[in-house]
Amino acid sequence: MQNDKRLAARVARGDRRAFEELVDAYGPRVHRLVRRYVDAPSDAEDVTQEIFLELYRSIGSFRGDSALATWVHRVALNRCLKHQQRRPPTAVPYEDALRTHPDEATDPAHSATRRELGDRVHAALGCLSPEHRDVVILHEMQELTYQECAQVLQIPVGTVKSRLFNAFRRLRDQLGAYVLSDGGGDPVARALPETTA
Amino acid sequence: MSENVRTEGHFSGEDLKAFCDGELPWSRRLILRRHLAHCADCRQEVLTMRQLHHDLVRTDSLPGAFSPALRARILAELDQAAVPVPAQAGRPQNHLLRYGIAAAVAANALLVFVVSRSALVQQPRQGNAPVSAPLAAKSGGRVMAPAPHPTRPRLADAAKSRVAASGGGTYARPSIVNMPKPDAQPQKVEPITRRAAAPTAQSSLPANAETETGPARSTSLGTEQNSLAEQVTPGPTGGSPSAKRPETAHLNLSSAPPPPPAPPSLVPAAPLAAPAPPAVVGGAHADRGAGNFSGGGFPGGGGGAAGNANGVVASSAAARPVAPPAPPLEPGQLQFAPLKQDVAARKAPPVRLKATPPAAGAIVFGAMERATPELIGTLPPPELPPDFDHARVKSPCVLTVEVAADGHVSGVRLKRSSGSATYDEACQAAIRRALFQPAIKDHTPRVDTTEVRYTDPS
Repeated sequence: MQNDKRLAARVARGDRRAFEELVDAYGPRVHRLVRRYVDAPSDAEDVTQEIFLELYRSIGSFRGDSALATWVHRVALNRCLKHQQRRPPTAVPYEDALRTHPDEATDPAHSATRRELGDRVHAALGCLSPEHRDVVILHEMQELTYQECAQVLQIPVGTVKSRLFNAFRRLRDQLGAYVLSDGGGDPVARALPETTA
Repeated sequence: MSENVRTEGHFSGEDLKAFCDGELPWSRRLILRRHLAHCADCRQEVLTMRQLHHDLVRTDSLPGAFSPALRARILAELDQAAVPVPAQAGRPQNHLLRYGIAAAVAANALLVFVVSRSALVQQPRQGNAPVSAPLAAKSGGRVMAPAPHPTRPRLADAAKSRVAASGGGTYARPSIVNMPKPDAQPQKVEPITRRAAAPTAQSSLPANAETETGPARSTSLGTEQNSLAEQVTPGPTGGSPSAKRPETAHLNLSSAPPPPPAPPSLVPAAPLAAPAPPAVVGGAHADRGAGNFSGGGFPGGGGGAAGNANGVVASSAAARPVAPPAPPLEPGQLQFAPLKQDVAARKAPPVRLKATPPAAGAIVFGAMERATPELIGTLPPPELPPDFDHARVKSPCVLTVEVAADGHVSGVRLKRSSGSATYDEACQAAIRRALFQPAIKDHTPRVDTTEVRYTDPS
């Protein structure tokens, strides 16, 4: 927490090096979050750029009451939601659709399977309500804790817990065939991995 | 043991999910682990959640990762960005200030409690509120009663005053402070009436008033008026009686020796600005929070005392801005401390709400909230040269427009070029002529940015 405050103070003083540290620390996570809300990669880059610009401008409002990651996610999520309100989802530009994932060049079969599952997961996430989707993205993909999710979304921790479970139940209904067909071995050991370790 | 055996009731799905996420408290986690060893349903649920989590994480690598080019773009944008808002250094101080205020309030409350406790110990029978005649007679006028609200007049008190003035009841001062002892003898607990009724050289109360109220009466209005007359007598230095207004229920238990006696003076140094009739004065006095001393309750028989009370109120109203030091007290003289909030109100400057008028031509919408600026009307068309080659426009020209609080465009930045510099410049020039509805947050128009996309129709 002290490091967060120190870094924020340096950025607020206009320290370019500190801002680079901020970009390096949170750039991938922020961009990954943006990609969940913005379809077109080019637009996602623009939104990511705007987020960091906003972070730079408003870093003075970071009081250190929460972790810097929580504050960054809060700003990023707000910007993403604002982007969604401003512009409804549009079709992905053709040149963006042609961009290939780096894995595809090495293992096309694996990449195809993974991409199919990814499309399924993406579609299933799209079926969730915005509230459930937010909490799934923040917790499962951004790896925030329940407490951090509650701070970012400004809701109680219990609400995070219930929303997450309800979201998972709907995802399981959507991806039932994919989820239940996977796995193998001793179910007890898989359910309680720490007992076998 | 069979997997279908259920040793306990099923855990909720939320608990199972929290267990998967490691967010369950360790005690409940232990119980759940034991339960999972025997319950196939819950175990299957946990397995499904783990698998789903694994799939979500595994498929989270969408194309378009955070590339070095994007990083360079962000850092390049930093050069054009405004200076960040400086960190609010006052925040921690605000915390300290908040804690300090809380500590001061707590200490003040403790002090008041201790003082009131010691007052009860030192003067256990000193009443400060009207009491009924039977009770007062039974206990020698020393029945403690809950003090009235110091700033709220009570009609019942005025009625009691009238009853007391006519000799039919007793009266206890609601706010008596600083009753200095004539000597350094240990403080002797005695009824207030005896102390207040002690004749002094400054007393302006006629002798018949004392006689009328009767010395045997425990806490009579006559003695009250006597003490009131004493305490409103301004000193020779022109002290205003407002400094001694009876408006408080605080007890000043200072045991310091009394100040040197002031020379007897019954004439106010400053003439009263507008002496009001006793009835009106009484009402005004009641408004000041000491309705117990309602001058209107004084019959004509107590003219001397009523006149003094009249002078108190009128002069306190007239000489409010002037607060010269109070004259020294006489032994046995009563002093009334002003209310703290009244002192603060006198010192504090008047609070004025600052209303910022909207700028000329500003568009202010009452209770609306607008996240981003919205264009009014249609986009102004770009003014292109006649021989402009529209084939050079490859894509829409995207502009980031900064809209001021008054709805005018205050800045334009090219976000994505159309492929034609001429077209881009024409679009930027055109958008500057546009008018927007500004973003509104907290009912206040604010500067915000929005995106505008120009598409060449041809």
